[in-house]
Amino acid sequence: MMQDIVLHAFAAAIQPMNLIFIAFGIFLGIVIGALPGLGSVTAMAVLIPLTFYMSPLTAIAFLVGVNKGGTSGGAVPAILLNSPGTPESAATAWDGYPMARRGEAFRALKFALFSSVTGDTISDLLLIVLVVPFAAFALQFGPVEYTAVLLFSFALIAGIAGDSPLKSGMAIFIGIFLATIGLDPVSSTPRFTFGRIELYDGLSLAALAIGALALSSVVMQISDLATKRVVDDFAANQAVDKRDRKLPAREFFSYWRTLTRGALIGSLVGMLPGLGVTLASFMSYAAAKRSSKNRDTFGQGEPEGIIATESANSAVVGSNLIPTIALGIPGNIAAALLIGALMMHGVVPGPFMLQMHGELIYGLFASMIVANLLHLLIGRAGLSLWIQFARVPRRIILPLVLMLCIFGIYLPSQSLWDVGVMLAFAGMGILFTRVGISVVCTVIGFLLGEMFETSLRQSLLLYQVDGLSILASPVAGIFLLLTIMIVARAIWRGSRKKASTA
Amino acid sequence: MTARSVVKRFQPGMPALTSILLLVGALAGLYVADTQIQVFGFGNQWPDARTVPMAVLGLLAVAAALRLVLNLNSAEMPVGPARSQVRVAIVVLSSAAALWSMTYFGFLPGAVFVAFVSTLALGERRPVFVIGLPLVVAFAVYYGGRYGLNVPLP
Repeated sequence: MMQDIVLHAFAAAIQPMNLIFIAFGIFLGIVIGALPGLGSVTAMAVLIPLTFYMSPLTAIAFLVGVNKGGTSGGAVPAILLNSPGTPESAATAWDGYPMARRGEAFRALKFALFSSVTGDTISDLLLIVLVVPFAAFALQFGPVEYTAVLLFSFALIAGIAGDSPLKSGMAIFIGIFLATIGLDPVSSTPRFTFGRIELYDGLSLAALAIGALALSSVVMQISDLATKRVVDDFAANQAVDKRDRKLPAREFFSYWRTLTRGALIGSLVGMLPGLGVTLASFMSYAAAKRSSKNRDTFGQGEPEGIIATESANSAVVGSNLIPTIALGIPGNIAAALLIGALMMHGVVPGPFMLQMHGELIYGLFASMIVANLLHLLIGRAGLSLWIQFARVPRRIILPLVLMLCIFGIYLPSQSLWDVGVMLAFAGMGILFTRVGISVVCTVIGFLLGEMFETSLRQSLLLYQVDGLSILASPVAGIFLLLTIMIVARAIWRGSRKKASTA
Repeated sequence: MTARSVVKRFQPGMPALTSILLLVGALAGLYVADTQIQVFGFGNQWPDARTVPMAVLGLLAVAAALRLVLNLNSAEMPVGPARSQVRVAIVVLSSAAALWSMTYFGFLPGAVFVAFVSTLALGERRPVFVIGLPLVVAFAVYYGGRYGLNVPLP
């Protein structure tokens, strides 16, 4: 019986029309994802109208292909330009760009692509096997558990990003504060809008992320070149000999622990609605750094950093469908767009979806596995094209990236206000980077700020009578304990460092 | 330790100035919070719309002050001579001017202007890269956005 379902699913997945649209989706996803500011979400939003004329399976498989391609495409500008197009690729730039600078751009891109496909495949297999029990586990997460997980994530990220936990803490506070601008999520009261109607919806995440991460990096590179602090030798450094570009399978799979860990972290974070791709990539990076023998070389071009980040952020793509399919709750914006597309084709996501549209869902699972294979082939072929960009001098590439950043921010909102906000955050990003405050922490604080505030306020309302009742949740208790341990360790290490330098 | 070296130590550099900026910003935020966030109370409704922003601003002020105190005696990164930043200022100002002008003249001239000025500021002098490439990319983005993605640019 099960064999029949699997065979039918794969037969549907390898229909020529299905394969063509999956491949087309991956290609478009990679290209759009590689442009600063245009991540997989924008790609999916722009391409949804194309699916009106497709069958439900082809339409969903096409959008999943776009999502897969878009997520891995973000690594290209992160590695080649040190300007991550999306926040989830920020950690890829930490090790990818130094590798590219020393002439290993091709190998760094290969590490990113292979890790992305492997993480995605592991996550897809987990989705197929564990969709029902995982969904039941995700249902146990209430506001208290979310608050505890978010506090733990803030502590963890403050520990790995930047050169001092205090500075990273400041950056996270700024991010959370920026997320509170606009209408209050509970009472819809305007906050810090100063009468500007544009601020009622809050600040745009894309404008903040692209301004603070990508544009600031572009302007700093322009600054370094203009003031002759750095020589324009990036292109000249790249390996010409094919032997220097090789990445043997043995070398890649020697990092199997980091790869598996990243995929599992990505899958676990992805199945909890709202936590998102960025958190998964940073948690995986932190875990890899802690357990690696080469932890001192992280941030200086360590392949493990790329593997941890890319395997985790791609693993979210598959596992995000667990709450989407089993509960009808979108795990992130990309999953919400998928729900929209499913509903447009007459499929209502939720607990009865597997029962009522089993053929479509198993067809989708099979399409996802096939899509990974196509992703590997298309992505590998595309590397030769991307590497040509690495050969163009920076003084020609950077002004064009500047132009694309403006276009990327204008595209989703069609508002010059967001472009202005992006320029302002670029200034903040430059200042913070120059003084060693982690911009990534600000972006993550902003990204998770609204969810943190909502779950914190709900938890405080739930437990304001008896604060100790919070310990009734073992999950929350464990995460709070881990948070306290991380903060205590950071303070202890900071005081020891201070004492040793005194 | 001479008196001269003590005076040198207390010269604020970029990190200290940034901490002061953040401290002042956080305190200003706390000061205007009451007027900027109106809470319509119906009995005891803590936590309300002010709770998290004020808590975060308070924590930011404490952290910025703590950083100032902790790093009082450490070596500071100098702000640097203004002359070396002229080219960067040109790029930043041209971006801001292009952004302002896009409302009146459209995306195409603004984007070409930004790329043209930045490429020149970076020392590139070959006409094909200074004028040709920005024109080609700006046209591709403009018409690709308008007809490919159905997004009319200004």
